[in-house]
Formats: sequence, structure tokens, C-alpha cells
Amino acid sequence: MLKGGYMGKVLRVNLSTQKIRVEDLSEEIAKDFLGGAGFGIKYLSDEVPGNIDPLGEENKLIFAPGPLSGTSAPCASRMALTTKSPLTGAVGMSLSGGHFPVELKFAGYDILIIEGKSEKPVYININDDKVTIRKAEKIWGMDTVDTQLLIKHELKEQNTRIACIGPAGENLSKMASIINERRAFGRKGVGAVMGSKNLKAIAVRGTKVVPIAKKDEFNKARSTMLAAMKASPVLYPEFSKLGTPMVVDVTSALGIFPSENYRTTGEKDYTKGIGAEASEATNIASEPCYGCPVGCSQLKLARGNSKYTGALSDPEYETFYSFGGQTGVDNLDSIIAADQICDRLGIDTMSVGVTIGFAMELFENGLLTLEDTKGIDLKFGNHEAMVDLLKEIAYRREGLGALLCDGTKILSETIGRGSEKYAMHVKGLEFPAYDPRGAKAHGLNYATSYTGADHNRGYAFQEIFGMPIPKPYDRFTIEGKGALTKWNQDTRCATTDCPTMCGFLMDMALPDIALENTANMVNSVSGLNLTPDDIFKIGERVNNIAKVFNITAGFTREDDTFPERILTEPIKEGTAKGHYISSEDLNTMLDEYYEARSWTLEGIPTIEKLEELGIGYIHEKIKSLEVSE
Amino acid sequence: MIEIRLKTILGIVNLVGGLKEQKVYIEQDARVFDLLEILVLKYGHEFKQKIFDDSMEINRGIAMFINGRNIYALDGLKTKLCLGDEFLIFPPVGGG
Repeated sequence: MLKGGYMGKVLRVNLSTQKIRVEDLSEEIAKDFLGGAGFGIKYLSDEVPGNIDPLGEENKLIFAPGPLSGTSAPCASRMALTTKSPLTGAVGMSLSGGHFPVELKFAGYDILIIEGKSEKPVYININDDKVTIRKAEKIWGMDTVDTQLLIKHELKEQNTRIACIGPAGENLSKMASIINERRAFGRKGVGAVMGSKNLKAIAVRGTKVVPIAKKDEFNKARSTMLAAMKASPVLYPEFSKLGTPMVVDVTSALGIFPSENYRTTGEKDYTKGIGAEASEATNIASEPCYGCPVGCSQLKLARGNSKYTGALSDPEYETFYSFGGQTGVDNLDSIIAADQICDRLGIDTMSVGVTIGFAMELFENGLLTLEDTKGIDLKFGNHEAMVDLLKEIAYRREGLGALLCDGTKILSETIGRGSEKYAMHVKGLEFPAYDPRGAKAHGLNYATSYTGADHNRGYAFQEIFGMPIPKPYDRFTIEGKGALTKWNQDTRCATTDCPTMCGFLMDMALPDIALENTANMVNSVSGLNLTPDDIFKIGERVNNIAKVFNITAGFTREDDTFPERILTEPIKEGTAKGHYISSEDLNTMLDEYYEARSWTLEGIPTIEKLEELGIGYIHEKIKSLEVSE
Repeated sequence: MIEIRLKTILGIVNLVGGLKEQKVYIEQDARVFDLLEILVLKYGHEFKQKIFDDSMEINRGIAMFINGRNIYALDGLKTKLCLGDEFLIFPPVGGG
């Protein structure tokens, strides 16, 4: 029996039948999958066929914090949301911090599964053991800020924590996010899945305490973790003040800050307009997630005298890219405004910014005309057009709004005429803020991550920050990058996505002790007895289950690739000048990656590997598809 | 003597005269440790403290690149510098 960390309960809400059930969480699942993404992907694999329509009734939303969430463990406030992504058709796993995740634990649940589809708009109200489905017709149509305010008002409960969708989710934009306060379950269109179920929001209030199995050991593990954080040369001295936007200066210096839809990476200096110094000048306060002593998220105010004056938001590095370099914009206030608008409309800043940047290149190449844009001069650098477009997209308005509403891949399929060559996505998920041509393992992770082009599933800090763990790597070479990518993906999954600890910790403070730290924290809180090797194995297990799900969803080796621009066009200027990833190099890296994973050359997990990981039963799923090994 | 380009970012910029990029002249066949010695002589204690610990080991998190390549994936501090090389120093960074 689980002695702590876990609340021991799974809450299942069926919106079709209105039935609400509470099930027990098995110790076996806790031990094998830890929590967060592990729980989400395990339940998705068991309960949702890979070939379903992501916006149909059969899809499920699986919210899962981790065993450390809601305890005094630092930086463990996070929650994973797993579903079949409407943007990619693959596993859609999205993590958010903030205060909503821990509230689910306080209410007594380790997992919340939402299934079915309501006929009319509703929201779910969870107040400890009392769970109700409430009408939401009145709030349908509201933005995420008003939705949160109105639900608190209606419930007469100011301390309730809410995750909700805005107009983008209601209009089934495949880029829609789910917002809790100012934090987002972003990317992969998870908000559209909520919208497809007519589910406007989830409100949670809990009064329980997360039990700790071994208090003395937990306090010791926690002190060790806090000491390691304190000893980090970057976490408190730099990161707590500058937050993620400091990375603009880093990737610019490395020549991989993407510019103008990757057309001009390295050719233009964005650091003056939107670099760390300019960014810091707009900071007004930090906004820590629950239980975080660092507080990297920086609330920024647009103070200049422009149409953006007064905009207030907390854009991260990725948003500095998507509404900055990617769109050729170096106007910081417009980035703050765009971020605020996206949060209110419930749309992902990364996907929508990349899609707008892509549309800008289509416009400059004549594939979108002034007639298509209704007279908008959609050239790179036009920040006013960029900001104005957001509402059009979130409401799927006729014209450009509807055209861009479902992201880069669908836009390129609609436009055709060779545009797919520079549609910057993998499996439908838009590129993050690192040009992979100048960081090959970071790039290989985009090609192989189970969620598509997702930096957070296997961040190559060895290449981006020069960190020598497990050893130093040359970012321009391909040798050893298959094995490195597997290591990065499994470690990240095991030490952050499953226990739901903050990813920044592993890269900046604890990379050398990440597995040991996770084992010590999880064991002391739960009473489990996992070794660092067991923890690593959990990451590998979860990545394998996700891969099997994607195979059943129809993905093959052909999908583990890049748009043609990455494969054929070298970066033209800057420190990474001349570098690209040829098809041959990609194939060499893929072969090595599959070999490191003990998968076939087609990228199929072998029965031996799955059995070694204790999940031999899922081999049936790929066997039935008659995939040759 | 040969000329190389020294590039710095974030907290290192103010320790090297406020210059994000500057030319530095070094001996032919000089290695990374020779360059660091020149920079310590030129920019003094604060720069030295940022880069080296008390035992003159490179501080944790300081990263250095020659033409974009991590020096530790080359020959480390013994890596040779050539005419026109771009030498980049990072303070400890993270996030993203």
C-alpha cells in the first residue's frame, strides 16, 4: 500500500453519461510510472485507441500531477495533461505549473480522467469529495480571465483554482491551450479537446494534506535538493532575475536564434530589441509557481508610448522567439501584448507565432496575396499585423483567421505549391526556438520526440549551454547523437515529466544528480523503494509506450524527419554558418537512435525490449497492425 | 601575433570592458589557457573570479566555444586558436 505522496484515488468524469466515479490508484502503476506524464501515457495507451479522432467523443483528457506535488518539495507544482493531440494526431502531453495542479492533490486525487462529450457547455466543479457538472452556457464565449473570475463568483469561492479554455478552444483551433491563472497547458491543441467536449473549465478546491511516508528522510532529501539548487551558479544569481528570456542572448551568440521562419537565422541581431537587457527592463515582479523558491516567471509591463502600452504578461523565451525572431519582430512591447492576448484567448503562443511567421513568408513569396490578407501587408516585422491576427485566428474568422487557425501543417497543406518545404513543424507540432541545423542532438529530439518538435521532451543542454553531462559534445557533429538523444529523452521524462518536477531544475541545478535526487525525493515521500536505475527505466518505459501509441496512430519512420529547409538549406550567416542536417546525416542519427533504443530500423519497439521494460503486453497493439520487424 | 574575435554575453560583457565583441591579439599557436591568461591580465580580478575558482579550475557553468564548438569536445583548455577564430565565453546559463 502507498504510504504517502499519492492520494490513492483516480477521479473519472464521463460527460456523455454524467457519471462520476472514484477508483483506486494501484501501487503497481505508481511504482512503474511515478505520476504526471507516466500516468497520462499509461492510461491513454490502455483506454484510448491510437486511431481515433482526437476531437471525437472517444478521446480523453488525463490530468495528473506527481507524487511530490502539493508537498513542500521545491519546484514540484506541476501537472501533466495527456490526450491524443488534434494538432499532431500523436500523443499530446502538455505540462503546466502554477497553483491548479497541486489543488487536485489537495482535493484527494492523483489523476482526473475526463471522457465522453457533453451536449451543452459545462464546467466541472471539484470540491474535495463533492464533484458536480455545472452548466456553462453563460460563460461560454468568455476569455480565460473572465471565465476564472466568473466561476469564482458563481461558486462563491475565491480560493478555487481553475483551468479553462478561451475562444480558441471553443472554436476548436488545433493550437488552443488550457489556461490556469497565467500559466498554460500549451502546445498540441489540448484546448481544442476540451472544446470538443463542450467543457469550458475545471474548478478545484481541496482541503486535504498530502501525506509524507518517511518524514525524516523526506526532510533530508529536500535539504539536499535545496542545497544543490543554492549551489547552482545560475539558478538564483541569474535565472531568478532574468527568467527564460535570457536565452535570446545565448542562442543568438550560438547563431541558432531562428529568424523569419528560419529563412535568415544568424543574419540579424535581435538582442538589442528583445535580448536579456531589454527584457529585464520591463520586469515588474516574479510570479512563482506553488512552492517554488526561484520564481523564474517574470511579469512584464509594456510602458512605452504605443498601441501596446499597459499590456501586462509573462512571455517566456519561446514567446520571444515565436513573436520575435520567427516573425522578424524586435518590438518587445508587441511581444508582451501578443502573449497577454494569447493567454486571454487560450491559444498557444509558440504554435500561433510560428504559424504567423510561416504566413509572412508565404506572403513575401507571393503564395498569399493582398487579396488573401484583405489588404494586410503581412511582411516580416509587421508586429501590428501579428498582434491583430490573433483574434482573427482564435475566433476562426473567415479569411486569414480560418486559414491559420489550425497551425502550420494544415496551412501548408491548404496552400500547397511547395510551401511544405518551409512549413516548420515535425508531425504537425511547430518548431521551438532553436534552429536544429546548429544543434544536432537538439534537432534529433525534434524528429523523434513522441509529441513532435518539442524541445522539452529531450532538451540537449550539452549543446545549448555547453554542459558536460554526461560528457561534452560538439553541437555541429552527428556522432553519438542518437544515444545522447535517447539519454536526454529518458532522463527528462523520468526526472521531470513523471515526478512533475520543473524541467529547468534538471538542466541548471541538478543535471549530475537528477536521477538520484528523484529517487530520494520520491522514495521518501511515498515509501517506494526505487533506485536511480529504476527511475531511468521509468523514463524509458514511458517513451516506449508513447511510441507504440504513435505507431497505432499511423506514424512511421518517415515521420521522424524535418521540413526540407532543414535538410537542404545551410544557415547562411553567424556562428552556425554553413551547417544543416542532410538527409544522410538524419538517417545516420536515426539509425543510431533506434539502435540505442533497441528498436528495429523502422523504429518499432521489439518485443524483447518491451518485455525487458515490463510492458510486453503492449506488443499486441503493434502486432495486430502487422508491422514488419 | 594573430588576431581572434572574443565574444561574450550576459554577465561577462561588463567584465571585459562592456564589449560584446572585440579583437584580441595572441601568439601564433596560442591555446585557450594562453588566451584566458591574457584576458585575466587585461581585465583583472573580477574577470578572473568569474572564470576561475580558488584552485584556478574553470568555474562550474562557464562554457567556451571556438567557432561555435564546445572547447571541451575539442582539446579543452589546450585547444589551439587560429587566425580569425571566434572565441565565445558564456556565464552559467539555463532555461528555455
